[in-house]
Amino acid sequence: MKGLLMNKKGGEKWLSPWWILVLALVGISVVGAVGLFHGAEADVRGIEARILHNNLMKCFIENGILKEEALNEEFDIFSICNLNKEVLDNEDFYVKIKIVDEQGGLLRDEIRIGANYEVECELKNPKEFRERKIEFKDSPGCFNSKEQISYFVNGNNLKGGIEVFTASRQRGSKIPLANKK
Amino acid sequence: MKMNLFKRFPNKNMEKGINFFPKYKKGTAGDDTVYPVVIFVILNLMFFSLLIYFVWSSSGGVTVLEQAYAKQIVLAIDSAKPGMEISIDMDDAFDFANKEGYDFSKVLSVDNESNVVYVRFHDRRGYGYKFFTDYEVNVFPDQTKEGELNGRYIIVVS
Repeated sequence: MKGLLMNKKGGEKWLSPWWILVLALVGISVVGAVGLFHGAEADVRGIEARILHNNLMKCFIENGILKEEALNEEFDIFSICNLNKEVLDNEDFYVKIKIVDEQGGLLRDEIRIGANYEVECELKNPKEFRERKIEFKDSPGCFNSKEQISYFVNGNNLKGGIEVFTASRQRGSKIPLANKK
Repeated sequence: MKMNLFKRFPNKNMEKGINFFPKYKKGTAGDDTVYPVVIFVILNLMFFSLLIYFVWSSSGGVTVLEQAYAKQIVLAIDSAKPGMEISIDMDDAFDFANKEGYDFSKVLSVDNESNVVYVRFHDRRGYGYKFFTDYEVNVFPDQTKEGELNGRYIIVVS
Protein backbone atom coordinates (compact mmCIF):
# COMPACT_ATOMS: atom_id res chain seq x y z
CA MET A 1 0.00 0.00 0.00
CA LYS A 2 2.82 2.33 0.88
CA GLY A 3 4.44 1.62 -2.43
CA LEU A 4 1.38 2.81 -4.27
CA LEU A 5 1.65 6.31 -2.90
CA MET A 6 5.26 6.89 -2.07
CA ASN A 7 8.71 6.22 -3.44
CA LYS A 8 7.63 6.53 -7.04
CA LYS A 9 10.10 7.39 -9.76
CA GLY A 10 9.11 9.63 -12.61
CA GLY A 11 10.73 10.63 -15.86
CA GLU A 12 11.10 13.89 -17.70
CA LYS A 13 9.21 13.88 -20.95
CA TRP A 14 10.17 16.30 -23.65
CA LEU A 15 7.70 14.89 -26.10
CA SER A 16 5.42 17.87 -26.73
CA PRO A 17 6.82 18.38 -30.23
CA TRP A 18 5.68 14.84 -31.09
CA TRP A 19 2.30 15.44 -29.54
CA ILE A 20 1.90 18.64 -31.54
CA LEU A 21 2.89 16.68 -34.65
CA VAL A 22 0.18 14.11 -33.93
CA LEU A 23 -2.42 16.80 -33.36
CA ALA A 24 -1.40 18.56 -36.57
CA LEU A 25 -1.63 15.27 -38.43
CA VAL A 26 -5.12 14.62 -37.09
CA GLY A 27 -6.27 18.14 -37.91
CA ILE A 28 -4.86 18.13 -41.43
CA SER A 29 -6.32 14.69 -42.14
CA VAL A 30 -9.79 15.63 -40.97
CA VAL A 31 -9.81 18.94 -42.83
CA GLY A 32 -8.35 17.36 -45.95
CA ALA A 33 -10.82 14.47 -45.91
CA VAL A 34 -13.82 16.74 -45.47
CA GLY A 35 -12.56 19.12 -48.11
CA LEU A 36 -11.98 16.34 -50.61
CA PHE A 37 -15.37 14.83 -49.93
CA HIS A 38 -17.35 18.03 -50.23
CA GLY A 39 -15.27 19.44 -53.03
CA ALA A 40 -16.01 16.44 -55.18
CA GLU A 41 -19.51 17.57 -56.08
CA ALA A 42 -20.16 19.47 -59.29
CA ASP A 43 -22.74 22.15 -58.69
CA VAL A 44 -24.74 22.89 -61.83
CA ARG A 45 -27.80 24.42 -60.19
CA GLY A 46 -26.96 27.92 -61.34
CA ILE A 47 -26.62 26.74 -64.93
CA GLU A 48 -29.80 24.71 -64.59
CA ALA A 49 -31.72 27.78 -63.36
CA ARG A 50 -30.40 29.79 -66.29
CA ILE A 51 -31.40 27.12 -68.84
CA LEU A 52 -34.90 26.95 -67.34
CA HIS A 53 -35.10 30.74 -67.46
CA ASN A 54 -34.04 30.84 -71.12
CA ASN A 55 -36.52 28.11 -72.05
CA LEU A 56 -39.34 30.06 -70.40
CA MET A 57 -38.36 33.31 -72.07
CA LYS A 58 -38.37 31.62 -75.49
CA CYS A 59 -41.74 30.10 -74.67
CA PHE A 60 -43.35 33.44 -73.74
CA ILE A 61 -41.63 35.83 -76.13
CA GLU A 62 -41.06 35.65 -79.85
CA ASN A 63 -39.04 38.43 -81.51
CA GLY A 64 -39.65 40.70 -78.55
CA ILE A 65 -43.40 40.23 -78.73
CA LEU A 66 -45.32 38.48 -76.00
CA LYS A 67 -47.34 35.53 -77.27
CA GLU A 68 -51.06 36.23 -77.14
CA GLU A 69 -51.96 33.09 -75.24
CA ALA A 70 -49.58 34.09 -72.42
CA LEU A 71 -52.10 36.66 -71.19
CA ASN A 72 -54.82 34.03 -70.96
CA GLU A 73 -55.34 32.95 -67.34
CA GLU A 74 -55.85 29.39 -68.56
CA PHE A 75 -52.43 29.34 -70.15
CA ASP A 76 -50.97 25.92 -69.27
CA ILE A 77 -47.29 26.59 -68.93
CA PHE A 78 -46.40 22.92 -68.66
CA SER A 79 -47.94 21.69 -71.87
CA ILE A 80 -47.19 24.79 -73.95
CA CYS A 81 -43.58 25.19 -72.77
CA ASN A 82 -42.95 21.41 -72.70
CA LEU A 83 -42.12 21.25 -69.01
CA ASN A 84 -42.68 18.33 -66.70
CA LYS A 85 -45.05 19.26 -63.87
CA GLU A 86 -43.94 16.49 -61.51
CA VAL A 87 -40.30 17.54 -61.79
CA LEU A 88 -40.83 21.31 -61.49
CA ASP A 89 -43.69 21.56 -59.02
CA ASN A 90 -41.76 20.50 -55.94
CA GLU A 91 -39.02 21.80 -53.68
CA ASP A 92 -36.24 21.22 -56.20
CA PHE A 93 -37.25 24.13 -58.42
CA TYR A 94 -38.88 27.54 -58.32
CA VAL A 95 -40.37 29.56 -61.15
CA LYS A 96 -42.01 32.97 -60.98
CA ILE A 97 -43.27 34.81 -64.02
CA LYS A 98 -44.68 38.29 -63.84
CA ILE A 99 -46.10 40.12 -66.84
CA VAL A 100 -46.80 43.83 -66.41
CA ASP A 101 -47.91 46.77 -68.46
CA GLU A 102 -45.98 50.02 -68.92
CA GLN A 103 -47.17 51.35 -65.58
CA GLY A 104 -46.17 48.19 -63.74
CA GLY A 105 -49.66 46.82 -63.31
CA LEU A 106 -50.09 43.09 -63.66
CA LEU A 107 -51.53 41.93 -66.97
CA ARG A 108 -52.33 38.53 -65.54
CA ASP A 109 -51.84 36.61 -62.29
CA GLU A 110 -48.27 35.79 -61.43
CA ILE A 111 -47.25 32.28 -62.34
CA ARG A 112 -45.53 30.54 -59.44
CA ILE A 113 -44.31 26.96 -59.50
CA GLY A 114 -42.46 24.97 -56.87
CA ALA A 115 -40.97 26.08 -53.54
CA ASN A 116 -40.37 29.81 -53.07
CA TYR A 117 -36.64 30.49 -53.03
CA GLU A 118 -36.79 34.24 -53.59
CA VAL A 119 -35.62 35.10 -50.10
CA GLU A 120 -32.77 32.61 -50.24
CA CYS A 121 -31.70 33.92 -53.62
CA GLU A 122 -31.77 37.48 -52.30
CA LEU A 123 -29.78 36.50 -49.22
CA LYS A 124 -27.37 34.54 -51.32
CA ASN A 125 -25.70 37.46 -52.97
CA PRO A 126 -26.44 40.85 -51.44
CA LYS A 127 -23.86 43.53 -52.06
CA GLU A 128 -22.32 43.47 -48.59
CA PHE A 129 -21.83 39.74 -48.77
CA ARG A 130 -20.22 40.00 -52.19
CA GLU A 131 -17.79 42.57 -50.84
CA ARG A 132 -16.89 40.37 -47.94
CA LYS A 133 -16.94 37.26 -50.15
CA ILE A 134 -19.44 35.52 -47.91
CA GLU A 135 -21.24 32.57 -49.46
CA PHE A 136 -24.12 30.50 -48.15
CA LYS A 137 -23.74 26.76 -48.27
CA ASP A 138 -26.43 24.78 -50.03
CA SER A 139 -28.09 27.85 -51.46
CA PRO A 140 -30.09 27.33 -54.64
CA GLY A 141 -28.85 28.32 -58.07
CA CYS A 142 -30.85 31.38 -59.14
CA PHE A 143 -31.41 33.42 -62.26
CA ASN A 144 -33.60 36.44 -62.72
CA SER A 145 -34.16 38.92 -65.51
CA LYS A 146 -36.65 41.52 -66.71
CA GLU A 147 -37.27 42.24 -70.34
CA GLN A 148 -39.25 44.85 -72.14
CA ILE A 149 -41.86 43.44 -74.45
CA SER A 150 -44.59 44.44 -76.82
CA TYR A 151 -48.01 42.86 -76.63
CA PHE A 152 -51.25 43.14 -78.49
CA VAL A 153 -54.61 43.80 -76.92
CA ASN A 154 -57.59 44.32 -79.23
CA GLY A 155 -55.21 44.95 -82.09
CA ASN A 156 -53.31 47.64 -80.20
CA ASN A 157 -49.57 47.35 -79.83
CA LEU A 158 -48.68 48.15 -76.23
CA LYS A 159 -45.48 48.17 -74.23
CA GLY A 160 -44.91 46.14 -71.12
CA GLY A 161 -42.44 43.98 -69.29
CA ILE A 162 -41.88 40.39 -68.26
CA GLU A 163 -39.89 39.18 -65.30
CA VAL A 164 -38.81 35.56 -65.09
CA PHE A 165 -37.27 34.28 -61.89
CA THR A 166 -35.97 30.71 -61.72
CA ALA A 167 -34.16 28.73 -59.07
CA SER A 168 -32.85 25.19 -58.82
CA ARG A 169 -31.98 23.33 -55.69
CA GLN A 170 -31.79 19.88 -57.22
CA ARG A 171 -29.03 17.74 -55.79
CA GLY A 172 -29.66 14.49 -57.59
CA SER A 173 -29.48 11.29 -55.67
CA LYS A 174 -27.49 8.15 -55.26
CA ILE A 175 -30.06 5.49 -55.72
CA PRO A 176 -30.39 1.76 -55.61
CA LEU A 177 -31.08 0.55 -59.11
CA ALA A 178 -32.24 -2.97 -58.41
CA ASN A 179 -35.55 -2.40 -60.17
CA LYS A 180 -34.44 0.05 -62.81
CA LYS A 181 -33.82 -0.88 -66.44
CA MET B 1 20.17 33.03 -14.43
CA LYS B 2 19.49 29.96 -16.46
CA MET B 3 16.87 27.72 -15.10
CA ASN B 4 17.71 24.13 -15.40
CA LEU B 5 14.47 22.28 -15.43
CA PHE B 6 16.22 19.00 -15.16
CA LYS B 7 17.30 19.91 -11.68
CA ARG B 8 13.67 19.92 -10.59
CA PHE B 9 13.37 16.28 -11.41
CA PRO B 10 16.82 14.94 -11.07
CA ASN B 11 17.54 11.74 -12.85
CA LYS B 12 21.10 10.74 -13.03
CA ASN B 13 20.52 8.69 -16.12
CA MET B 14 19.27 11.56 -18.25
CA GLU B 15 21.57 13.55 -20.45
CA LYS B 16 21.60 17.28 -19.96
CA GLY B 17 19.70 19.58 -22.26
CA ILE B 18 16.53 19.06 -24.25
CA ASN B 19 16.69 15.79 -26.10
CA PHE B 20 13.96 14.42 -28.35
CA PHE B 21 15.27 10.96 -27.84
CA PRO B 22 16.30 10.87 -24.18
CA LYS B 23 18.52 7.95 -23.47
CA TYR B 24 17.70 5.85 -20.52
CA LYS B 25 19.41 2.85 -19.19
CA LYS B 26 17.28 -0.22 -19.38
CA GLY B 27 15.53 -1.02 -16.18
CA THR B 28 15.43 2.61 -15.03
CA ALA B 29 12.32 4.68 -14.65
CA GLY B 30 11.22 6.25 -17.92
CA ASP B 31 13.05 3.86 -20.24
CA ASP B 32 9.77 3.09 -22.00
CA THR B 33 8.87 6.71 -22.60
CA VAL B 34 9.89 7.01 -26.24
CA TYR B 35 8.84 3.75 -27.85
CA PRO B 36 5.10 3.91 -27.06
CA VAL B 37 5.00 7.42 -28.45
CA VAL B 38 6.88 6.45 -31.60
CA ILE B 39 4.54 3.51 -32.12
CA PHE B 40 1.58 5.80 -31.48
CA VAL B 41 2.79 8.29 -34.08
CA ILE B 42 3.41 5.56 -36.63
CA LEU B 43 -0.04 4.04 -36.08
CA ASN B 44 -1.60 7.48 -36.44
CA LEU B 45 0.30 8.03 -39.67
CA MET B 46 -0.91 4.70 -41.01
CA PHE B 47 -4.52 5.32 -40.00
CA PHE B 48 -4.77 8.79 -41.42
CA SER B 49 -2.94 7.79 -44.58
CA LEU B 50 -5.59 5.13 -45.10
CA LEU B 51 -8.31 7.67 -44.36
CA ILE B 52 -6.95 10.19 -46.83
CA TYR B 53 -6.45 7.50 -49.47
CA PHE B 54 -10.02 6.26 -49.03
CA VAL B 55 -11.52 9.73 -49.31
CA TRP B 56 -9.28 10.66 -52.22
CA SER B 57 -10.14 7.52 -54.16
CA SER B 58 -13.85 7.97 -53.41
CA SER B 59 -13.85 11.61 -54.38
CA GLY B 60 -11.93 11.02 -57.57
CA GLY B 61 -13.55 7.75 -58.53
CA VAL B 62 -16.92 6.40 -59.45
CA THR B 63 -19.00 8.88 -57.44
CA VAL B 64 -17.65 11.93 -59.20
CA LEU B 65 -17.79 10.23 -62.58
CA GLU B 66 -21.44 9.29 -62.16
CA GLN B 67 -22.41 12.76 -60.95
CA ALA B 68 -20.46 14.66 -63.57
CA TYR B 69 -21.85 12.68 -66.50
CA ALA B 70 -25.43 12.64 -65.20
CA LYS B 71 -25.48 16.40 -64.69
CA GLN B 72 -23.76 17.14 -67.98
CA ILE B 73 -26.24 15.01 -69.89
CA VAL B 74 -29.24 16.50 -68.09
CA LEU B 75 -28.08 20.03 -68.93
CA ALA B 76 -27.77 18.98 -72.57
CA ILE B 77 -31.28 17.49 -72.53
CA ASP B 78 -32.74 20.56 -70.82
CA SER B 79 -31.25 22.77 -73.52
CA ALA B 80 -32.30 20.55 -76.40
CA LYS B 81 -35.28 20.83 -78.72
CA PRO B 82 -37.31 17.99 -80.21
CA GLY B 83 -35.60 16.35 -83.13
CA MET B 84 -32.12 16.97 -81.79
CA GLU B 85 -29.53 14.23 -81.65
CA ILE B 86 -26.71 14.74 -79.18
CA SER B 87 -23.48 12.77 -79.29
CA ILE B 88 -21.58 12.73 -76.02
CA ASP B 89 -18.05 11.53 -75.54
CA MET B 90 -17.77 9.32 -72.46
CA ASP B 91 -14.19 8.13 -72.79
CA ASP B 92 -13.53 8.25 -69.05
CA ALA B 93 -16.68 6.24 -68.36
CA PHE B 94 -15.74 3.79 -71.12
CA ASP B 95 -12.28 3.24 -69.66
CA PHE B 96 -13.65 2.96 -66.14
CA ALA B 97 -16.36 0.49 -67.15
CA ASN B 98 -13.82 -1.68 -68.96
CA LYS B 99 -11.53 -1.58 -65.95
CA GLU B 100 -14.38 -2.60 -63.63
CA GLY B 101 -15.62 -5.22 -66.06
CA TYR B 102 -18.99 -3.50 -66.45
CA ASP B 103 -20.95 -3.42 -69.70
CA PHE B 104 -20.60 0.10 -71.14
CA SER B 105 -23.99 -0.15 -72.85
CA LYS B 106 -25.62 -0.21 -69.40
CA VAL B 107 -23.78 2.85 -68.04
CA LEU B 108 -26.30 5.41 -69.25
CA SER B 109 -30.07 5.04 -69.14
CA VAL B 110 -33.10 7.30 -69.05
CA ASP B 111 -36.43 6.80 -67.30
CA ASN B 112 -38.95 8.85 -69.27
CA GLU B 113 -41.72 8.25 -66.76
CA SER B 114 -39.93 10.00 -63.93
CA ASN B 115 -37.65 12.13 -66.16
CA VAL B 116 -34.42 10.88 -64.64
CA VAL B 117 -31.04 10.23 -66.23
CA TYR B 118 -29.12 7.42 -64.56
CA VAL B 119 -25.39 6.85 -64.76
CA ARG B 120 -24.03 3.72 -63.14
CA PHE B 121 -21.05 1.45 -63.03
CA HIS B 122 -22.75 -1.18 -60.92
CA ASP B 123 -25.97 -3.10 -61.41
CA ARG B 124 -27.46 -2.02 -58.10
CA ARG B 125 -26.12 1.45 -57.53
CA GLY B 126 -25.94 4.62 -59.54
CA TYR B 127 -26.62 8.32 -59.65
CA GLY B 128 -29.80 9.92 -60.90
CA TYR B 129 -30.53 13.50 -61.94
CA LYS B 130 -33.82 14.88 -63.21
CA PHE B 131 -34.41 16.89 -66.35
CA PHE B 132 -37.33 19.32 -66.42
CA THR B 133 -38.34 19.17 -70.10
CA ASP B 134 -41.17 16.92 -71.09
CA TYR B 135 -39.63 15.45 -74.19
CA GLU B 136 -39.11 11.78 -74.88
CA VAL B 137 -35.41 10.98 -74.53
CA ASN B 138 -33.73 7.84 -75.79
CA VAL B 139 -30.08 6.91 -75.37
CA PHE B 140 -27.94 4.26 -76.94
CA PRO B 141 -24.21 3.63 -77.16
CA ASP B 142 -22.51 4.56 -80.39
CA GLN B 143 -20.66 1.87 -82.32
CA THR B 144 -17.92 1.71 -84.89
CA LYS B 145 -18.54 0.25 -88.34
CA GLU B 146 -17.30 -3.06 -87.00
CA GLY B 147 -19.97 -3.00 -84.31
CA GLU B 148 -17.67 -2.23 -81.39
CA LEU B 149 -18.46 0.29 -78.70
CA ASN B 150 -16.44 3.46 -79.13
CA GLY B 151 -17.03 5.26 -75.83
CA ARG B 152 -19.75 7.59 -77.11
CA TYR B 153 -23.46 7.75 -76.42
CA ILE B 154 -26.14 9.12 -78.71
CA ILE B 155 -29.01 10.97 -77.06
CA VAL B 156 -32.13 11.46 -79.14
CA VAL B 157 -34.70 14.04 -78.03
CA SER B 158 -38.14 13.73 -79.57
